[in-house]
Amino acid sequence: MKTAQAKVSDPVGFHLRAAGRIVKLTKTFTSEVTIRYNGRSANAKSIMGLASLAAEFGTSVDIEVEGTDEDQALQQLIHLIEVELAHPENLE
Amino acid sequence: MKTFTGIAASAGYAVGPIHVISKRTIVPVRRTVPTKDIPRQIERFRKAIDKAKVEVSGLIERLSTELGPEEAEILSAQLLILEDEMVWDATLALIRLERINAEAAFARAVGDIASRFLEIEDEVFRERVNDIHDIEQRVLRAFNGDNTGELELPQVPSVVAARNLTPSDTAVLGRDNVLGFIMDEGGSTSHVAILARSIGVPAIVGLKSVVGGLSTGQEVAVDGEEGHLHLDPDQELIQEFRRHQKLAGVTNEKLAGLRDLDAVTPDGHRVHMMANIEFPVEVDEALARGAEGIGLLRTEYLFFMLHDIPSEDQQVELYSDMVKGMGGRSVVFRTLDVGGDKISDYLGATREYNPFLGWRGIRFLLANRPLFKTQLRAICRAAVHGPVKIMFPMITGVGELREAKAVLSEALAELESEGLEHVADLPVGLMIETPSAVLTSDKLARECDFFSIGSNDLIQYTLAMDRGNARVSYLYQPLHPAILRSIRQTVRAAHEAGIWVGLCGEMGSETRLAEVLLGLGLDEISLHGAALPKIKQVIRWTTYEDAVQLVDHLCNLATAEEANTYLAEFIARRKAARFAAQAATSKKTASPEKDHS
Repeated sequence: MKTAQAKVSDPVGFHLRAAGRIVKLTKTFTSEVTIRYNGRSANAKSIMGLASLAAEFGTSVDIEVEGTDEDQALQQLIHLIEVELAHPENLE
Repeated sequence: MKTFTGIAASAGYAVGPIHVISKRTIVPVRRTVPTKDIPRQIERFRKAIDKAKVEVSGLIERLSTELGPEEAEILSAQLLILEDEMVWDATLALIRLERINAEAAFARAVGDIASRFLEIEDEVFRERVNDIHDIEQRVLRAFNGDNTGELELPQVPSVVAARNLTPSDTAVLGRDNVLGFIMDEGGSTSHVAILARSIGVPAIVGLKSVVGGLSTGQEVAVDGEEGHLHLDPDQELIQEFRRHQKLAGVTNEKLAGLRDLDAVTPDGHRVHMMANIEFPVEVDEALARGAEGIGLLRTEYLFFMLHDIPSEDQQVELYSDMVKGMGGRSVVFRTLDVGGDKISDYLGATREYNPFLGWRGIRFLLANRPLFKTQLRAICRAAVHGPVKIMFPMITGVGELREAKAVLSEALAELESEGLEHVADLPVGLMIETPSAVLTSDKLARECDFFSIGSNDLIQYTLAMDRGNARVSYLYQPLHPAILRSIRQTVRAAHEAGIWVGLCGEMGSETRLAEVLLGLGLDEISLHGAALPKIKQVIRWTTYEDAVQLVDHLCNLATAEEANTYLAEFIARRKAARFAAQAATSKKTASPEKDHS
């Protein structure tokens, strides 16, 4: 199991769209991913779970990853939350 | 009469009843089901979810080129909700434990989750509940087996009013019986705004919560010029709007009459009027508006449309069609300009903190030479069908221009040795959109055949402002002395080197700036086809001498505000003079008749 913290770079926090992007990423891994914020936790493969955490911009979330691809999953997830969420996703 | 103000998204005036588009909300009735019926309820749930998924995926696919990134993200988030374990677990648990029908179980599961969102004290999060509600309703419709939930179309000519319209809604609406649009949400680039402009009706968007309180049949007057919505307008206002509509009709006819005339000032100075296009279908529109050619053909569309790197032959085919369509008129191809706000993952571009200062335009092309060379080969091959020019985006100095030209030489050498039909000596130009290009324009001008000023980016880079950032967007000031001086410097450098210079940004389609662009000495203005006749009209009644004097004065003012005021006064004076002249001529022609009577 690996854990880490990540600072939310999305200017409006974990809203539905940001949550959707996290889910899309975590679903590409077999590892179980849990994100905790403000005393609550959510399965990072559930868009509704993540969105209802309502993690705000600039705050830190705890990430916990367990599985065979945990290193890669953790690394990419941190990058997504800390860097990529700052910009809108372009689906093209 | 009450007046509300929103964002003017499409020009024009409309008076008439409103037709409110509100989608019927389905509230499922809760039934207890026998235990043996539980597997069937679960199966119904699966089927409804599957049907909704197919619909949403279909929507994403069908509208992929028309959707804004935000709309597309929301649709793809909705897909994830349909697969969400919280939704599934809660629904299945309710069906099994409480033995209730699937639709009621699903609605309650979603409702429970949505209520958590409502507890969050944040407006953005609360708004997301609407997205959840949308997908919930889609699933509930799927249970009913009805594809409708569809819009009720206006039966009499009406102003269409809605909280929000999705791209699929506007596609269904079409143009029948639509006098205009008013919408609570959205901005000037939303889908409704684009639709309204293309069918030529007024639209006001971003009315916040006005439309929510309206009902079908109420009379409104829509002022798409100023963004004012008048509720229950009085007779006086209705008469005024009718006059505006009539005037607009007359003006349009007059402008249509300009199509085959050149943009020449009374003192004989000629400006070439070209169209900016992106899609093949725009060729006909450009010609209908009287464009003398295509001053900017954006090639990003082809790449984005295919969601893949198009082959050389595909490009040759598409480019050739557009060149042929222009029937011997000039077409300026801008090579692929990705990056900035037009990032494309499959092209290997990644998101950057500062995309407008990052890997874009010519930087991207020079780093992706095979792709760049393929595009250049395709353009040279399409050039056998008509006069074609090549233009490079985002040049910051002579070094990049030389490198780009070297790639072009390689492409030409390859075509030559492969014996493929092509044109070898195409004029090569570049976009002036960075301050460094302006400052080195004298050097650049000696090594290329033309310039085209991309005013949107030039303003953004010169004033160091991000147009997408609402807090600094007020700095979009085309009349800032720095911008006017930059354009003037570029024009002078071009003319000293004996090359022509055009402008292809949004400045070109602002009527009030037409005299300024004329006075700056631009040889060509390339703009969106719809604005072309108006700009041509202004050029045809302004002397070049007056315009040059105007620009001399504007360039010496201290601020954009001073320039705005001065220009407004200048335009008002000229209008008054023109009206006086018109009145004088009509008197002359009218007076002999008087004598007879």
